Amino acid sequence: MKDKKLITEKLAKIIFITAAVFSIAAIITICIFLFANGIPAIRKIGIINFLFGSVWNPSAGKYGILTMIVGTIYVAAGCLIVSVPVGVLTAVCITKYCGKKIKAVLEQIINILAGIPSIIYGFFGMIILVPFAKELAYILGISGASGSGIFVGSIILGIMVLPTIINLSVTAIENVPKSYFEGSTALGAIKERTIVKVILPAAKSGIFTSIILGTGRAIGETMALALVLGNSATFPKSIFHSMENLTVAIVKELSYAEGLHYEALISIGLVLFVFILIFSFSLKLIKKGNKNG
Amino acid sequence: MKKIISILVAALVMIGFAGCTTKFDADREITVIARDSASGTREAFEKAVGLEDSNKASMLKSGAEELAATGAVIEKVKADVQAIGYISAGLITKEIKALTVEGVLPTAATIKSGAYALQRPFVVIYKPATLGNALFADFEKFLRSKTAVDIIAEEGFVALEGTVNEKAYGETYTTSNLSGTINVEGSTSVGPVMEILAEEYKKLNSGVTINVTQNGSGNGLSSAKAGTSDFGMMSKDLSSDETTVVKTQLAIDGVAIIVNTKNTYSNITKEQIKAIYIAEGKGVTLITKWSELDA
Amino acid sequence: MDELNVILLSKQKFEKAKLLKLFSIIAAILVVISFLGIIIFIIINGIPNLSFNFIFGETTARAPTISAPVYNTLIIIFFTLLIAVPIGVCTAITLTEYLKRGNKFVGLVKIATETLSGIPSIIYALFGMVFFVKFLGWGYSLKAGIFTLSIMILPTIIRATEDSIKSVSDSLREASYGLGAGKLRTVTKVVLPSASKGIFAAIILSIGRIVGESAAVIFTAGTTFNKGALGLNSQGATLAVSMYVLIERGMIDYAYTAALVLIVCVICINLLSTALGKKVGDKYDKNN
Repeated sequence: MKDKKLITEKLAKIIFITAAVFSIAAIITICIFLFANGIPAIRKIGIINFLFGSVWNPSAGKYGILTMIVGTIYVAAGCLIVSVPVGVLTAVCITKYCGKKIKAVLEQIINILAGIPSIIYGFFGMIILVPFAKELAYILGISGASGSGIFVGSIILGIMVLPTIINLSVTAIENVPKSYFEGSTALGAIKERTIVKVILPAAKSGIFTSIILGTGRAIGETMALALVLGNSATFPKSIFHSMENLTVAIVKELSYAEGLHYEALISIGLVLFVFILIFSFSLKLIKKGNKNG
Repeated sequence: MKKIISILVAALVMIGFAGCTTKFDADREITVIARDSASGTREAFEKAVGLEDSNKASMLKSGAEELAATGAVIEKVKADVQAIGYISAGLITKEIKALTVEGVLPTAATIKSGAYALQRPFVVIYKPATLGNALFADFEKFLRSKTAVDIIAEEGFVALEGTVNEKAYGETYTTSNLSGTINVEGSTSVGPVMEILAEEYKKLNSGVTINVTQNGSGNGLSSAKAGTSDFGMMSKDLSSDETTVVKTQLAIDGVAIIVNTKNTYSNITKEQIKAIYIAEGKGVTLITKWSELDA
Repeated sequence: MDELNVILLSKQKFEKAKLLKLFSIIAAILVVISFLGIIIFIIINGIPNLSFNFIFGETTARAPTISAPVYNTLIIIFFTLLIAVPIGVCTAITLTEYLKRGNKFVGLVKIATETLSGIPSIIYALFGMVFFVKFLGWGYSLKAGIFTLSIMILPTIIRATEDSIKSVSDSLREASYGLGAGKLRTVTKVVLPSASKGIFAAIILSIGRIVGESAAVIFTAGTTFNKGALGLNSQGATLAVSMYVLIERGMIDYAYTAALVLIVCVICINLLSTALGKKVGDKYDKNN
């Protein structure tokens, strides 16, 4: 009787640990396949040519992804410009100015926004925002603009990233001890001054985390941008001109690329992967620093 | 409160204003719409119009939108009054307008006679060994049968007749009631008619599943070569350098130049098309506004 | 209070300070406008083509229906959860119940999980295609999509289960041990049931993520609208992918309706998860 129990216990432990090994196995497999398939192409093209070449024209044998790297950075920056002010201010509104009912409604809306599939955002951007952007460019006197580009990409990504920023900022603000707020007001500061000078700095790390996560999302987003960036691998002349970023480049050509072209696309994936790894690693370091600091 | 309302109103007015300015203006820039590098239509277009350089590389102007499918081009041209694009002549819809090229409208008749210069074949390609499989051989036979030819003509393409490349076209098809799965991949220009052909074939052979994936002629070629698809479809001719796959021609199709229905222009020359699409610095005076077509 | 402050500060400073209130309200309104804009956009354009036939009818070349995509989506959800939930829950159990916190192995698993959760979907798409479709020779198939998605949602399940298990009070465990139950029995009969609410919420979250995923599915399960005859080896588009395909084919009207169905599903899933009392936003890694 006792033996049977022991065996079952041992068996269970083995099963559980095997399951845990699975995630390690998964990430190792992903790394192996990305590197094994991506490095050869980078070798053939030459890492300097690959990372810093500004012409991407596979049929002419040119594989420079600088325009895409720049594109990813532009779009991520634009996304933050849109989402951080709106997100943090909305979080302030939710925590400090909204009644219970409005707060509940807002939170439901934010939840749904978070759940909307990225392709629908792309669709919305393509049909509504791009023509609008094109007109805007014309009004502003920018010539040759197609409407697709950084402007629309940033707005769409910004909306997509809002729920992350808002929710984390709300949590961060709510975690600031009430005594801070009460102490500041008791000293004579009006509500707004307290928020800006006391609460927000105290919530800094949570807000900062939300920004990092939002950036991570912005760097990796694909489908929403595939429909609104214009997909032309060039340095855009304005925020209303067609351009491309790393993720969209992969999606655009992956299904039909062959040979070196195919391998080059995997290399782009590798670059993106390393980008993101560096990113999360820095986040961890910062978090550790904050804990110790 | 007042401030909020005024800001919102201003925003709405701007949006409304943007939506309302959809009149065609010949003095505004042409929005150049192209296809992505997988497209057979693009290759046929660039060859016919002279956009390929000596190394067969594309000289498309930078900043032109490179869309991934026929449908996307149609949508873009529908939405943008200043746009110009190119698609398969058989896929022209009422929502857009086809320009006459050097005075000739792209119709089945003008393509067949050769009067409409921008044309290319639709082909299905496959490894020679594929025809060793009874189901695939039957499907290939079906694509040349009278049933298929009628469908192709009905859809607005030029169907083949008699004997072409040692294959007979227009014979009656009788079902052999085989079953199995056929994977077809490739051109978004051939895709629509292939879907209809596949549907007809399935009606006659109920045990068959046909998967048609439309992702560009380039993929049709690479997947047929790799064996991941049984048949590839391309909207350009198979290059003679390709020795691992063989072709069966499906139809002849033209490349139509499309513009928005509000566009007041109706004719264009090959030189003008080239001048609109070509990159800078290739020794060709660029055309950037519609009004320059009057010159 | 405000009157007192107006007296204490100059009017200028006061007005400036109140700008914060104005801007934060504007920000919130912008969020609501974006939401309404997108929803209304889809609903108005999607309703005309909405019909029983569109969702359940047989698809034809000229008039596609989303019956196969809907079916494929359900199949993929079912099998993905079938794979990911047991593995995820077992992993979480290992991390919390069986190994000590400082254990190196635990650290490794944690790093692995965190890295996995940060990987964008296009990388999963690439990996899925390179590994399952090409290397393992599965070809474009629902199978390939299922396994790729399982890896993708694994971190979410692990983390949520871990949190839920940790929140089960130790007194429950001690009581169980005190009554003579072994570790396994305690875990399965006492800890898990108490943690089930959190686990279930994570499952709902993952379903939402699977439904909304497109890039990773396009390159593994394919884009066809036909109901495959090969079971899990057949290709098939999911609902989100079908939307993409319809847009690319120029059948925008149908794309709107597919989007409408998609949004309705997402809203239902959201309401379900709220009903379970777990804030979707708390799991900040959901948005990756």
